[in-house]
Amino acid sequence: MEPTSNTTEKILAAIETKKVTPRPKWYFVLRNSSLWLPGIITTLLGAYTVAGVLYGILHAHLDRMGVYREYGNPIFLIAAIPLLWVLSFLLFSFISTSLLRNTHSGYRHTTLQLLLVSVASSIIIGVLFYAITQDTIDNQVRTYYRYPTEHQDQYFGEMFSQTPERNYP
Amino acid sequence: MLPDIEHLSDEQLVIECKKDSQHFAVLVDRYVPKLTRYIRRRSLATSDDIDDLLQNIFIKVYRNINDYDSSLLFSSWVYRISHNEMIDWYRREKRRATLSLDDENHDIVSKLITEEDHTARFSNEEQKQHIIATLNTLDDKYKEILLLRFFEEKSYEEIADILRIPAGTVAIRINRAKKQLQKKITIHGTNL
Repeated sequence: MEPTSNTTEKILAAIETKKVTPRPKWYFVLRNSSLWLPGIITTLLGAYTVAGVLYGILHAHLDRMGVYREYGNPIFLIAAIPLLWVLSFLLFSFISTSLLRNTHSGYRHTTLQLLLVSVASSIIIGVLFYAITQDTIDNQVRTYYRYPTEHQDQYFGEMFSQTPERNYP
Repeated sequence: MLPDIEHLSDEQLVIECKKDSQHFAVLVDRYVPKLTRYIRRRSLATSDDIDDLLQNIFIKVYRNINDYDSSLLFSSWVYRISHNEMIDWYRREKRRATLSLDDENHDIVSKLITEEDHTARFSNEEQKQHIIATLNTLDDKYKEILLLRFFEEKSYEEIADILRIPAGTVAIRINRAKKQLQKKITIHGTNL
């Protein structure tokens, strides 16, 4: 094929002179994968925080906190939510959303769609994380706990009933 | 001898030029006039600037040909590269995007304004000139999107692929651009 315009001729000559060659396919596969990687990592970190939130809530001993409710302080329920984990989850979800936007086809979706995908993935994986690792976490927590497991119930019971004679706060 | 090379679609040519670079010349030949017009409309670039821009654009196209995603139209991909190259050029030259419209574009301007109001008509040449001047006062993102929609006649999906924004955002932005244009025209007293 002969170039039909002067400009085409100049462009083809420039490509030849500068010895421009197409970059190999693997270069782009690698580059595009590297765009996905940070998004996946932050989604996994988000999932880890979801597992943390679940652990925090499900091990908050709400039954014992019920003692406070009787004294007209229902706001204690908020205290049961591990806020640091929730904030970390939100942070990772937003970072993950903006990273997913930079992927090859990320621009085709709205921010809300990407955010929903990120949040949903984190929650699903987080629940799985929690289901798989809760025993391990539980064991570790108990290992570092001040009181042996068998005395925990007694300890919490006394603590929440604020028994002054036992020097509980 | 290359069989019926001229009849191949852009996308087929891309596949072929990965095997034989001669096919790339056909792509360049097809897109030089379109991109020249696009650059000319988008800027006050001189002929030399346009040649340089085209050269950079096609070097990038050739170098990144293996990155072409076949789910896109080839034209969208080339326009995207051109769009990015123009932005780089504005930064290098410290210029602002300026629409440069010639006489043949006046009918398009009429179409842009009257698309939703078919009773509106330009009464004289002065008004058309005024509207083109007003187009240049729009925000860059609005100017660009109107250019792609009405002057380059791209569909919403193509514009979405060129600018890398969701198709819904394209529709919203076009709507806002037209409103901003109409508002500015009204403020400056041009009766349509």
